[in-house]
Amino acid sequence: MSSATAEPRVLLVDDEVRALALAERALTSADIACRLAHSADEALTWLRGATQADVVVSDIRMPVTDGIEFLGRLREEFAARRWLQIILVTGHATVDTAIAAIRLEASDYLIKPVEPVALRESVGHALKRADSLRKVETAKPDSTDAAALREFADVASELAGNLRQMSRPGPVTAALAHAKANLATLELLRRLQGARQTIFGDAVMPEPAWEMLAELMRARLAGERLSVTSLALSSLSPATTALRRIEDLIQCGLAARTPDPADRRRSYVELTPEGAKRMQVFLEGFARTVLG
Amino acid sequence: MSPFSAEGLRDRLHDANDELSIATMQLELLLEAGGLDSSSARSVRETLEACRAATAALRDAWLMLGRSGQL
Repeated sequence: MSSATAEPRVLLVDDEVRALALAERALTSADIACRLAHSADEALTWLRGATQADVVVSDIRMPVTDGIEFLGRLREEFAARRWLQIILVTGHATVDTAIAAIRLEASDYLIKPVEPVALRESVGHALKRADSLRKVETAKPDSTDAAALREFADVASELAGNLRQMSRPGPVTAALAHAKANLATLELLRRLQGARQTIFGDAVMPEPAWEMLAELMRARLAGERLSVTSLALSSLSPATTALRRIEDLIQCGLAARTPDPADRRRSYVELTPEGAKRMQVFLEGFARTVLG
Repeated sequence: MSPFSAEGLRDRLHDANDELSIATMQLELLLEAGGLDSSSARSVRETLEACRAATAALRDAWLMLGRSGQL
């Protein structure tokens, strides 16, 4: 079942027919053509013949094969399609599903009720990311793009090492570790940003959730405290979007909010140990994929 | 699974949240499409607020039900 004459690049998967129809309406009103599937099996069958597919939006709670299992099967069967972006939708976030989603490289995690604007924004970002990744996939191994990708992977690997060291108990005092991590991390992040822009342009991972996770990681490594306001500002996104993403990060257990005892109007936000662990796993996984 | 077990209750909360999500999205799309007179638009906005409040209450209930590792 397809919603537009153009070859759809977006696949919506949900066993609930009404939810599918509404999501389709929200996207087609923004000229995003969709294909609908009522089960994981139907989705996989369509994907086998649809090489133009770039984004899959799937509910997590489905009978027979749930969204997490579906995502696992999809990643396994379509491992060659590295550009495929997955957006998971759930009613209630759990630590288990959030971790599984990150492990399986879901690009976004939306909590119901999903506002049409948020759905379009998430799918729009995912489409841009898929475009950029397709470009990287087709880059020649000896091209500038490929060299920049390897540099990106090196930086990711170093950052993961920094995070690993920070989580280890040891004789080095926290202050010393922070001081050492500070300068090195800032330099690594600068290179990471530079390499990312070289490879992907501005389109890749522009959503504030990623920017804020990176900023939270930088703050953790540098031993800084970030207020909710400064984190929202650092994302360079509209305040309402940034605050919503901060809430999403907190809900998923990746970040935590702490009230400022000196000023009740202010609260701080920091990466949780689980958030730091996930960032480390992500960076290591990325580096491994690229460097082999 | 017993309907009175914590798992059964969570299932029902999920069902209720799914239904509210459908109502919320329907109302959001209705407002977006425009064409409503001001009185109807106000009613839709108020209904939307009620749906959001109900969703927040469900989320609280989900948290109160609790489970190790559950957010």
